Amino acid sequence: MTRLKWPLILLPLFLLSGCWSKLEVDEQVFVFALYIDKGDQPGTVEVTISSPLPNRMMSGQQAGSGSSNGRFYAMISKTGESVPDTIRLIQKDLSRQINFGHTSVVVIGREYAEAGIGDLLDWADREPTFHISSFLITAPGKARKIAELVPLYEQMPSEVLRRMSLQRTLYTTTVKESLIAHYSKVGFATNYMSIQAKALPSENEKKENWAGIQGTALYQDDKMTGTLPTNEARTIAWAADRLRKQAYTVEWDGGSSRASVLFYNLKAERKVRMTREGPVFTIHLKGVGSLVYKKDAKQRSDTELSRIVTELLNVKVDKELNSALHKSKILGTDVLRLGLLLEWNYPDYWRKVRENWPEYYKDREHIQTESKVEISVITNKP
Amino acid sequence: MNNQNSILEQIKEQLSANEDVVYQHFLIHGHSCALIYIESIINIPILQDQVSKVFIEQAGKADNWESLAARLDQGTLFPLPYVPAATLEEAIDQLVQGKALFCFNDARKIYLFDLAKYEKRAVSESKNELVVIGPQEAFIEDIATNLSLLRHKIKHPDLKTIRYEAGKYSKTIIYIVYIEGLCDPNIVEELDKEIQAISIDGVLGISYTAEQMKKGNHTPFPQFQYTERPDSVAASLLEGRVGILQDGTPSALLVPVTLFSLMQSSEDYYQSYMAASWVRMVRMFFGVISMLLPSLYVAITTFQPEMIPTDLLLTIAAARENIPFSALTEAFIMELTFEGLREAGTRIPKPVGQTISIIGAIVIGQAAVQAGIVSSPMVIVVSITGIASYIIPHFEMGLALRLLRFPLLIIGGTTGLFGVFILTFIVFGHLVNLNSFGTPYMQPLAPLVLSDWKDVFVRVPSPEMKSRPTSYANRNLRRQKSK
Repeated sequence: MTRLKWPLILLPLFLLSGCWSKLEVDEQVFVFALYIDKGDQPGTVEVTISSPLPNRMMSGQQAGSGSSNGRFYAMISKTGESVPDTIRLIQKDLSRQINFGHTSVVVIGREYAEAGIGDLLDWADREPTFHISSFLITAPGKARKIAELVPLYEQMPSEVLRRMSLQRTLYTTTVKESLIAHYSKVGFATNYMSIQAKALPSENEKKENWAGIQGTALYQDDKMTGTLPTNEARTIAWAADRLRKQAYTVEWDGGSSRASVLFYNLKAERKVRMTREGPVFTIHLKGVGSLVYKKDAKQRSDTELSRIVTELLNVKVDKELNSALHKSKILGTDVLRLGLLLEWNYPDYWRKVRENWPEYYKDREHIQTESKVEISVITNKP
Repeated sequence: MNNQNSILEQIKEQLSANEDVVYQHFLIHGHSCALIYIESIINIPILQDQVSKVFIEQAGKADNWESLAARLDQGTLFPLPYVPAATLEEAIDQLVQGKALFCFNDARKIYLFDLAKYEKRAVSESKNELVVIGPQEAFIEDIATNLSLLRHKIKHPDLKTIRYEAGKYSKTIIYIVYIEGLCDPNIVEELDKEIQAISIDGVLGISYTAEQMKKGNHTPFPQFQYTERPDSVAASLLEGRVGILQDGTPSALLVPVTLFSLMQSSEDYYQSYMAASWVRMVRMFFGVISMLLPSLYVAITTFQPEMIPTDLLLTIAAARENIPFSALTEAFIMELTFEGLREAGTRIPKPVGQTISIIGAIVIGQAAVQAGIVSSPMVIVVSITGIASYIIPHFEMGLALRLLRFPLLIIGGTTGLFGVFILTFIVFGHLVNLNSFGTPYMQPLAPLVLSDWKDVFVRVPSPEMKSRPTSYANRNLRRQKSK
């Protein structure tokens, strides 16, 4: 037994691991972003991977421009029947092993999104090296087009998209959240990008592709159903509890007085209660912000002013939220995942409506909204 | 001594090829006698002043040979202590150990004077265990001086010193020192047995003694603490540990040891407790680094690159590009080079010592990276590890961690993090299994003794340490009056 001790200890070690599973860093392609589009032929999908080219970043110089020897990243596209198929096709032509361990952004083209992203979600669910904490983003046209944005501050377009999502300025969604929504039949939303050619002073007024977020794309059952513009998108993001900072502006006195408030503490509370007519959802929005700009025609005192602004803001936020919810109802997309709330509180009822939840949400759902904002007035007045 | 030859003849015969032996002959009242000594190891002025001169004076005053011999026998002739030798062999034995022999040829008697004086250096500053504040003196090669340094620190009759002699030819003096009532008597007993059992030709350094006592215990981790600081020995004795001092060696041994006692430095007790606690935690951190960092780096970059933050991965990937070796080979080359440089740095004669640092810094630091043979992150990892292994205050402990680094590196490069964890686990198992003279090596962590944690990862202020650690003796625990 003593003679067998060491072989016995080391046997499981070498059964489970060993140098044959070794892969050096310079034998791998780290995919930083995935761009998924509908292929030219019906029923096909075009997958683009974006990965850095470490051999072009000489160590110690990666912060420099290095444009003399081309870009720091490579984009490889292939069209195939499904997402995993296409990735195999890409791998076939590569000298290095694809690794999804560092994929942080998945961009979906609008056409592909409208046709359904079930294929992609299923792959994300099964690929062991893929991290489902990656961000999911929707592009207005082709997803590939987004990849052509100019990374002004970062090294790669994927880095721009990742950092943009990390800012949480609008409806930031991860693959994980979309998987949850997908499996539980509720809706979800992602950021909806915009891209346009702009002359940039830093690039000698050369026209470059500048990417931004123009709103929110709504999804129900793995299909994109529609979009919301910025104003409604931000309020729905607030209601979904994923907004970090936001500025709102109100006008009164027939447009001669205005004020802007920067909210730095945004909270939302969603509740459900059962009535005879069915469940009633209540959404409370709470926000604390400070007055960052005012133009008051009548020189009111700060106390009075903040009362007026608070009132107006409450109305405005409420209106934006209701209009957003209205649109989501028309599209049959439970973007705030109220279904999950119902499942948690009234599981029996949920079981009854689960199958037809989008229809139910469209026709019968009753949602009350209420918003409450607080404003502090900070001045540098001497 | 009933031989017909005169004893002087016999002595001369036995010491025939020892030409540094001095024979000084006297003729008193018609009787011949001689003073025999080895010049280089005898205190000559005292010998002349207190023995030769006194003897001639007394012989002149004495009326006859008999009265002189009688006084000599009574032990009142010389102002120095002296003893008669029982046998000729003993006398010669003592002669080479630094005694002067007074030999009466006719009376067939030999008296021994203890006038040994070996060359020794002065007490100097501690070179290997530096402290900023606190005592600076260190032990030297002379056992009497070392005992005097220790007795200067602890002035109590309970400080016991037991004397041994080991080595057939070297006849080295070894002392076990301990404080009765504080230490575990079983340890003293065990040490007594072990030292008595030492039977080798020469005991030239204290590590000879240590290795003889460590029989059959195969572990890279030190079972003894070496120190050259009298204050470390004193503090350890006060904690209930036992010290071993040896003639001819400037360091002492302390037993028992625990892993955590080897992570402590004397400085910890001389600095403010906050600074000491912080430094101690830094030390623990770097202890782990020194063992694990290269293997973790190799394992993560070759098996689990997902674990590296994206930006860092880019930097590493850019540096690894075009490196002809695998990360494991690269790490091995660098570690081996570092080991070689370190060894060369220790062995190189001082005047050419600079060469090593220049070659080392330029060849490893610059040229290897620029030539694209190794990547710069690897150089950083190896350098940090190299520095980390010298942060551990006890050299032996640092050595153990450094040795373990290599198997860990190989397993990390072949089986990834999984292998690193398994091997680390095995090392921990080994540590928990070890004991040093009955004290568990990982105490007070395993077995868990929370009351001793006041002096493990942090050092609490001295007034809070009211009791001695239970790790070593577990008796007479109170060391401060409770208020």
